Amino acid sequence: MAYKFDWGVLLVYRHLLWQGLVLTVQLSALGMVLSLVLGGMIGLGRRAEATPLRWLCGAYIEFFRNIPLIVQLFFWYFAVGLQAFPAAVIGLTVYTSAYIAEVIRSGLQSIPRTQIEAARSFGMTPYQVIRHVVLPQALMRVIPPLGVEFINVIKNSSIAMTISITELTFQTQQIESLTFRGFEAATAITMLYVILALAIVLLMAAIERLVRLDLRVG
Amino acid sequence: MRVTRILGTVLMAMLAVGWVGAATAQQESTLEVVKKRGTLVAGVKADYPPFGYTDKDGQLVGFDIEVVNYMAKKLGVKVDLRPVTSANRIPMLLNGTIDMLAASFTITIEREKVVDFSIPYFMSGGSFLVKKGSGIKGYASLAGKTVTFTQGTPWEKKTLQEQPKAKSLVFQDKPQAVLAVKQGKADAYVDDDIPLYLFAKEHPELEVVNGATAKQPMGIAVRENDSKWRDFVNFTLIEMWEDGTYKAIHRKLLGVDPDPDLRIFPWKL
Repeated sequence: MAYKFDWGVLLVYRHLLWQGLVLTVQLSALGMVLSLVLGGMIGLGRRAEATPLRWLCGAYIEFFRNIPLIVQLFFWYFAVGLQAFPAAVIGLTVYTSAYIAEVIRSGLQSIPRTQIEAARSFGMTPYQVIRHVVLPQALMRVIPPLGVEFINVIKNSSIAMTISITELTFQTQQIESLTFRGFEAATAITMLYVILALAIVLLMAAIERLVRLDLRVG
Repeated sequence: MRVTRILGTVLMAMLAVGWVGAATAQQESTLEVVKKRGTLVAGVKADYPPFGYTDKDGQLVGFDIEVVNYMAKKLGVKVDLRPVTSANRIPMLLNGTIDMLAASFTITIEREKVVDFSIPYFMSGGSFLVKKGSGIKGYASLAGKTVTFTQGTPWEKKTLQEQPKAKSLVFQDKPQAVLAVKQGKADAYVDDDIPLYLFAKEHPELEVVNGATAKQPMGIAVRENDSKWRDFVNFTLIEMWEDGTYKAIHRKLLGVDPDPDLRIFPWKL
């Protein structure tokens, strides 16, 4: 039994897709920026001199990345009692920042210890070592995996529909329940998610190019 | 003529079938069959609380099971419960596997064409789950209020048609919608009344307000053309209502008295 596609429903319900897309982009963009800031700090904390700080950041990472996102969203929305949108942004940020912290840490760790020791023996202060030796090289190495995390943020934002955020995936199911045309709606959002992910890929490639020019490395 | 001959044959065949049909109609009623057998075989749901479901000991329990047990007690026979699904319940009744079907079965014209129904013994429709004392009486009182739904049900569309000023809040599953009402994130939750009754039973601060849709009747189905058996089922349902058993079961399983509008035909004239 061949399925007869009726793409007209997408035209009829395009306002739903648009509203969903806007929310998904808002949620993802906020999630990316905030989790990069937070994750960057936690990742640096993992490499701190002070043992309690290192330990604390490690605990943060293991705690938030090992608890399923849906549970965390329920926590912020139902247990803490935040409004739906702030709960979704915080949940997504905290969850993603744990992953980004690990990306940052792996970038920092990839710089051989000997380079740091050599820089120190030139008389550079620890700050100068980080600023001029570690960070420029680490930055180049974390850009590709950061892109992966950002794409994950976009996809993970769909889980916010469990706390009543009417984002893209929600609207797709809404179209399906209104028209019983699930295949058309699913095809449409597949395309939209692919476009969003490709936009991230292009953005990260552009950033990588800029950083490369700026640092004159690689 | 050839046509006449064919027509004649067809007519004869029809008569023969009619005669056989008449003969089978003369067969003894399921009422006698059950009494002779000493067992009442009933089709019930095994996955639809509170009508028919499996409890933690693996026993089939529920509203329909209580009704079947009452019937069997009346007949003085044992009960043999057969779990049915929505897809196989009519065939199982028609092929004689079960004597009656008490499986949260809504009475419809299409079904009435293939089985016979008892008088309605349960009414089910859409309702509102609200906080006690909310003052919400129906769609009219939902203007400007936040109403929650679960995605994939027809209630959001229906509610916004009835009350365009309602704000909607949609969840994926029922428990989150209930929690939203409990926490005041929503003022009402619109869904099928049966699960709402169960939620209200679990959460004493919530109550069910009827009236989201007209209620649909459920009946016990039996095979067609078995008046004696259907009479037995009907009269037993009426007895069950009159001696208070019905009310007791309703209270036990749904936590509230039956809808005051419901009557199981107290038709003593």
